[in-house]
Formats: sequence, C-alpha cells, structure tokens
Amino acid sequence: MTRICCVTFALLMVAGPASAQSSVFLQREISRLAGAAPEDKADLIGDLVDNAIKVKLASDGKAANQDLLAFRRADVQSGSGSGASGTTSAVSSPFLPAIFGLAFENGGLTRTVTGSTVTLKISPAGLVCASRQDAAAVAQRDPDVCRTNWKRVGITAAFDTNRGEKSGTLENLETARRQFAELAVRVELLNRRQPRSFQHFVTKATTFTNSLALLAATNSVWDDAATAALIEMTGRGDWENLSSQQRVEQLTAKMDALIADLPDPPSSVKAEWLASLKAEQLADFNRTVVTVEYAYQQPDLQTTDLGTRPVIVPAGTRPPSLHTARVIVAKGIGARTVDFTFNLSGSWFAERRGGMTDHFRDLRSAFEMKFKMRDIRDYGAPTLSFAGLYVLLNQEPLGLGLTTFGGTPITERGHIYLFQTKLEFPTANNAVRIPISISASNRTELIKASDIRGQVGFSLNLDALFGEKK
Amino acid sequence: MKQTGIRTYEVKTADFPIAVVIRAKELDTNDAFASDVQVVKDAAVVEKIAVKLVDVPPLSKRYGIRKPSTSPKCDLTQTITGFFGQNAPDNASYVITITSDTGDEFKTTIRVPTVDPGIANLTFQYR
Repeated sequence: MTRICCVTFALLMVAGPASAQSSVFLQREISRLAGAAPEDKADLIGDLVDNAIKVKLASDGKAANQDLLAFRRADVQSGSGSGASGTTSAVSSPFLPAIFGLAFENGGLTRTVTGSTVTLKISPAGLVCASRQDAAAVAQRDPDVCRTNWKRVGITAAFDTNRGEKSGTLENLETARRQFAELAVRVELLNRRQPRSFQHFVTKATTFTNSLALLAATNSVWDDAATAALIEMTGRGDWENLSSQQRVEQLTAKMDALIADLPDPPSSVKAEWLASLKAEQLADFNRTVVTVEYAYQQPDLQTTDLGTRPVIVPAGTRPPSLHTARVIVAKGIGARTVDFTFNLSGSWFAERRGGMTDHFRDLRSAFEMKFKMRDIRDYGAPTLSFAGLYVLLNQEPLGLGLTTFGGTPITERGHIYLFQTKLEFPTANNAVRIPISISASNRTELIKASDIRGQVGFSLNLDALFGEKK
Repeated sequence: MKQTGIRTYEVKTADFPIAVVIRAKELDTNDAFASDVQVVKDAAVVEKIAVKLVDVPPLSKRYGIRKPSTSPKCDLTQTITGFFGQNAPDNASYVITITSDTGDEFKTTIRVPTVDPGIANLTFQYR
C-alpha cells in the first residue's frame, strides 16, 4: 500500500489533461470517505475536494515536464566525434540517445580527406527497457523506470560511406570490404544532469504550493459547490445503508462530474507554475556531467606501399588501428540556456611500425559554448554553438612516417587549431536535427595549409519519437 | 475565530496574528510547505502575505499569519502541501493546528493522498 502513492502518481504522469477519469487519482481519498465514521466525514470531504484541485495543475506541469525532457534537450549527440571523416561536431556532447540514434554527416574537420559518416548510437539497457516498460518514460530518462546502472553505458558504431569507392584523392587506398570505421563504448561516470522525476520538481518548486493557493482562491465557488454536493450525498438517509463498494462507486461518479466542471487554472497561475517548473528543470539540465569514452578505429586497407625507405604499411595490409580515450565534461550556468562542454582525448596506435616514434598519435582538447535558443513550437529548440579545438599530432603525419601527401611535403609535427560555429535546427519535435557548421583551421592532419570548410548532416534521435506518447 | 466550513474560518481583527502549527505524524521528516496567503477581495487577489515556516523539532513547523492590510470584508486563502513520499504508512498524516490570538483553536488533518502531495486549503473569512 505504501507504494500506491508512487505508482498512481506515475499513472498521472502519463495522463493528459484532467479528464472524466480524474477521480482515479483520488481513489484513496474516496475510499477513506466511503468508509468514514459520521464524525470524520467533514474533514475527509475537505481532504477530497482540496486534493481534487491539484489534479489539473499537476497535469499541466507534467505535460510541460515531459516536453522539456523529450524535446528540448541539446546535450544529446547522435553524430560522430571530431576525428571522423564526416562530422559536424568539434566537441562531443556528454550524452548518447537514451534508446537509439542515427546520424549522417558530410564534411570532416581535421581530416585532410573528408567524406561522409553514418553513425549509429544505442543504449543497450535503454533498448531492453523500452521493449519491456514504458518506452516514453525510458526515452525521457525518467529515473523511475529502467532502474539499472547499465543505462549509463552507450555504444557507438560509425561507418565511413566513402569506403567502397575510389576517388582521386584516395589513390593509394583500396576499396575496403567493410565500411566499418569505429566502435566506441561510453560510460557516464557522473551524471548530475539526470532528469529528476516530476515529483522532485513538485517538491522543489515552492511555487507549486503558491500556485495551488492561487488556484484555490480563484476556485472558491467550485470548492463550495463541490463541498456542498458531497455533504449532501454523504448525508442522505440511505447513505448508511449502502455497501462500501456502492459508496465508492457513487463518490467516484460524483467526483468525475465535479472535476469535469473544475475551471481551468487562470493563465497567470498556470504561467507562474510552469515558469517555475521550467526554471527548476533548466537548472537541473545544466548540472555537471562527466562521461568517458573508449573508441576503436579501423582505417582503410592499402593497395600500394605506404612510405618508402622504410615501407611503413606494405600494400595489402591495413594501417594500424587506433585506440582513443576521451573525457567529456559538461556544465551549464544555473537556469541559463547556455551549456559549456570540454573534451580531452588521446589516441594511440594499436601497434608500432617502422617510422613511428612511439604508439602515441595525438592529443585533442576542445571547448564548446552552446546556446539553446527559443523553442519553436512543435519543432524543438535550435542551438547555436561556438567551439575551439586544439590537436597535437605527435607524429608526422598520422604517425606513419610519411613525409609527403599528394605531393605536398609534411615537415612538422602538427599543431592544429580549429574554430567551429554550428547552428543546429530541430524538426519533427526534435526527432530530427539538422546541424550546419563552418570550421576554419590552420591546417589539416596531412597538409600544412589553412582551410575553411562547411559541414552538414542530419541526426535522427528516436528518443523524441518514443517520447511523443503523452 | 469560528469555524464556518470544513476548512473555512471566520476571523476578526482581534484574531490576528493567527498561529499555525503543522505536525508530522508517523513520518520521519516534516515535508510540509505553506503558500503565501492570498487575500481575495471582490473575486480578485489583492494582496499576498508571505509566511515563514520555522522548524520546531522534532517534527513540527510553525508560522504566523499577520493581519492583512486589506480591510474587511475579504478572504484569506492559503494552501498547505504535505509530502509523504513512497514509504509513508497509511496512518501517516500532517495535523494542522490553527490558533487565533484570542485563543480559539481548530485542527484539520492532511492524510496520505493517492497522489503526493496531500493538500489542505485554508480559508479565513476576515469580517
């Protein structure tokens, strides 16, 4: 019985606006009144009427809460990281989709030869939970469902769509049998940005209580009428002769009728409550997140010898694979709509070959400031971000001992400085996002020449589709 | 002060300040909140009176409601929310004791609701 409160509140959470079935959220109060001794009736009627008023306000608040959880997030990344041949992100965001995401991006940032990348991101625990539980709640990262630490783990698989065809700039790369480019595992080490249950916000939002008071003050006519109707009903001569079940049924029908007549909250009351709720939630969405990621990357096969005296990668073999470790830290400011993200990563070759000084390939450090812009109704919130990326290439270039690329000499170990501006448009209630970015850098991985590039993509975050159930 | 409805009380100037104590029963903590007092005159909120809850160990909170600057006739409405959480026993409650400055005392109770929090709307008819 002690969990009834929680369970029924969860039911309320997926309910729409107060309806004729609203009395289901007053079952305990109704049962108590149905079985009350005459001397307790008055107080229990007050309990029932007063609790009925909150149903409407809570329903509005929950709808807004769900909206924020599902459609207004800007810290979920479906695309690839900065090193991919096709990417729109100089900085990796701290979260993967709660269930499943897919992205297609064209245009590289630090790679000399750019291409297109298809990225799949899944949360295995999220998938399992979505198949067994309320998928909408899982998609909204509701902490009351999918109670397993495994949901902190996400998996990414990236595919280079340019593999399988040759271009002039890829003359020494063979058609690869597979387009597989990267497999990554990510773990949320610290997630203080974990969305809280709606209950949390009701508890925290003292405005909820004030809004209820305003609602009560403006509903005194309804309150008096409802109280009078219940006093009349429970004071009838035949009331004492009814069974407990009959009393519950009559009270339920009466409360359904009364709640149907309950006026909507005045817009000022609703606005104040929703604004308070939103501020609470935005502040929570700006709390600290620390995520770590390990990625395994596999380059293309070589058709010709790569490097001379010594040959670094003989024809028919594959250049060494890469291991990358990345730390992602994100933190916003209070209830502001700006979020800061910092990335630090290092890459190591899986093996040391001739011409390599050691296994260490590169160090990347990146910082992003992302502004969440005003919501576009039924679309989502666009974001505008500014990012800086620094890459220390420890070896020349890519650690493979090459001194030229495409006839251009590579003569120094690399320091890449890159600046990126990105505008990300949501569509379809945030289920599809279209990132468009421009980057400027002093050089790319292989060629020491400044470059200005454009990147574009689209990402499909199925969380929003699952979350659409309301 | 006299009771004129289930949670409705008629008050006069001499009844202010009104003392309110919220006592948690069968609960580990007192998670009750009290709204500002809304002063309603001619169907419009014309004044708000903030209240400051003070903890009274072990499980009570108290506050006072001062006389409004609005002249009678007006109604003072206040909502008290009592949170019970997931593990509250069925007999848990918040007992609200309302005492006028003239010594009249009334009690009402917030019981474990179906949907947290439990609500009590108090109305003081200032006449």
